[in-house]
Amino acid sequence: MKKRGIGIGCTFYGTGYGNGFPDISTAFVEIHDDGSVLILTGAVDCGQGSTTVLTQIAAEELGIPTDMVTITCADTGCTPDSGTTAATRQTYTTGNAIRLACQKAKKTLLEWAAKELGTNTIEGLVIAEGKIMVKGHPQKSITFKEACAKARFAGNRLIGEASFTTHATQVNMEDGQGAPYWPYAFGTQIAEVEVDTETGKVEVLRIVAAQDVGKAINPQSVEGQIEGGVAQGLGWSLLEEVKLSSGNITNPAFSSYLIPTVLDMPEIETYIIESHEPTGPYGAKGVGEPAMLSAAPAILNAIHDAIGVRINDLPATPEKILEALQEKK
Amino acid sequence: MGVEFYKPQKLEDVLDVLATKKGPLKILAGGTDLMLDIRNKKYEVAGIVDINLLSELKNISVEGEFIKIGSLVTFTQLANSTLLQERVPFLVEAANSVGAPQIRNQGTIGGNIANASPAADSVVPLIALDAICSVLSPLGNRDIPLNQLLCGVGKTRLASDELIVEVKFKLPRKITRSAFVKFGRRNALAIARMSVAILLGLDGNKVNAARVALGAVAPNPFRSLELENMFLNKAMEEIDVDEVIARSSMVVSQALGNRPSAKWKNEAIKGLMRQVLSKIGIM
Repeated sequence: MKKRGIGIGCTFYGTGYGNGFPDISTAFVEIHDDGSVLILTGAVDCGQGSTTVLTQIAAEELGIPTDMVTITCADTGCTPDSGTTAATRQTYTTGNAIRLACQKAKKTLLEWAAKELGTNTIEGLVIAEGKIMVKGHPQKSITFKEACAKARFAGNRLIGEASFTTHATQVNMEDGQGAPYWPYAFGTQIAEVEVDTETGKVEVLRIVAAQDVGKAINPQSVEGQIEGGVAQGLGWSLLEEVKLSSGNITNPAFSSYLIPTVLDMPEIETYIIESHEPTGPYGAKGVGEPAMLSAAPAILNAIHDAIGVRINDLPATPEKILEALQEKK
Repeated sequence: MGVEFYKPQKLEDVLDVLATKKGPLKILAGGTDLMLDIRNKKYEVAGIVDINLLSELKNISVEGEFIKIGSLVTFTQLANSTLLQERVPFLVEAANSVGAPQIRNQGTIGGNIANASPAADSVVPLIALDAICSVLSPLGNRDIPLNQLLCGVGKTRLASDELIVEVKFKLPRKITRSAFVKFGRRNALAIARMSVAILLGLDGNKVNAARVALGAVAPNPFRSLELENMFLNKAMEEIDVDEVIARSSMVVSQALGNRPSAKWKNEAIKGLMRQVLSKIGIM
């Protein structure tokens, strides 16, 4: 018989290396004569889209379009260290480093422009629409490109370098107190499953995933990250298992270590929750790992709702489901 | 230590290579199992004989009362054949359940048989159909029933100079229903953990022919006469579904003995049997 159930999983996750470990990213930026910008940073894009997001952060900070920004990531011949692409940290940590580096290069440019446009501080200037303008008096302006060329010709170098360190303290080993991570990401997923009580097969019919990301710098890529997280979470819940025998992995291939295929994936409804993170670049924090966490508790709770048994040992294979059902009888 | 590669143009050249070149030789059809097995050093190979130039082995045809399928016919070809879709839909379902599109484009029916996996998807309906393999060697042609050709996990009664050229089976009568179900750990790219193929010939509403074959519960797929008898000479609505399901568990239990997988399979066959019966329209 096929039985359906619904379950909810709520999780929070501390992003960054944590526990006081040095968690630092560095970025270099240079603005050229033609107003184009080069960013160098060590952040590795494994396909999750950090290069795109970091480009957007640079463009936003400098007030220019993204197509004016060239970014070189993770070239050990020329990029400064930005740590590993791990711990859900690149948008937050490297994003902050790029933002700070851009601010420095921008400051040099605006200091020149303040003199050129006759304002007494750089606070009175704004970069928009390809121009540097006087706030409240936009008729007084110079094109961004011309400003860059002239500032450089006057002997200025429009460069910036910055490092950003993510705040974390070591946990007190006596009482477990401290602030080991920052920031934290929160997520909730709801799963609807169908369990075949004769074969033990669990089919996930639908997942609704809500993830707090601070600010979604690129909503489409955040959606992709959430969907990818759900796929990983589903695999973790139902399929994936490293099997060991005398210390050797007995399933070291994708034919024996199974991950979900597109035919195993349900419809996913994603909700991006934006709760401004004051320490993040434009309020952003990471999404990578936290997006996969809530799927397992949601699916296991849905299984319990469907057939009344608790599976406490992942993955919830057909064998374990049937065994649990028989024990219940 | 090199491995010789042969790619003969004609059938007689293949037989010549098999008879005269230094062995052990392995025949390359789709290669989806063979290449992995060689890489994983499952066996010694002195030479590989690629038979893909033999276009005469790539056809599906009807001759008299037989459907004949060339050994190089791919799963995709099986799945797309309107003849098979009409007359033996369960073979089409089995072909469609193999791996993924890339594997179905590459893998062949002959290779599926020769590889002799207990879980071979297309073999389960072929066993239900009492398929016969035409085998060629320098000594001539012989026909061998599929259930005799297979003789254990990864084992066949093919001699080293023999080649499967064709698989054939009697065309089921027009009023026949068939269905195939497979349980895999996931919904694509999965090896069958268990599979069932069923074919019922009908005279009006009465079952006058029944075939039930099970996959991945014994060294090779097999027909269960015990289960078949529960359908024979009964009207569709007279078939005792619960009894068939209960008996299927006993058949699987007998086949598996005390193998570690038996605990789950003895139980799960009930769900599979229910699925296949519902697919064929009995419940």
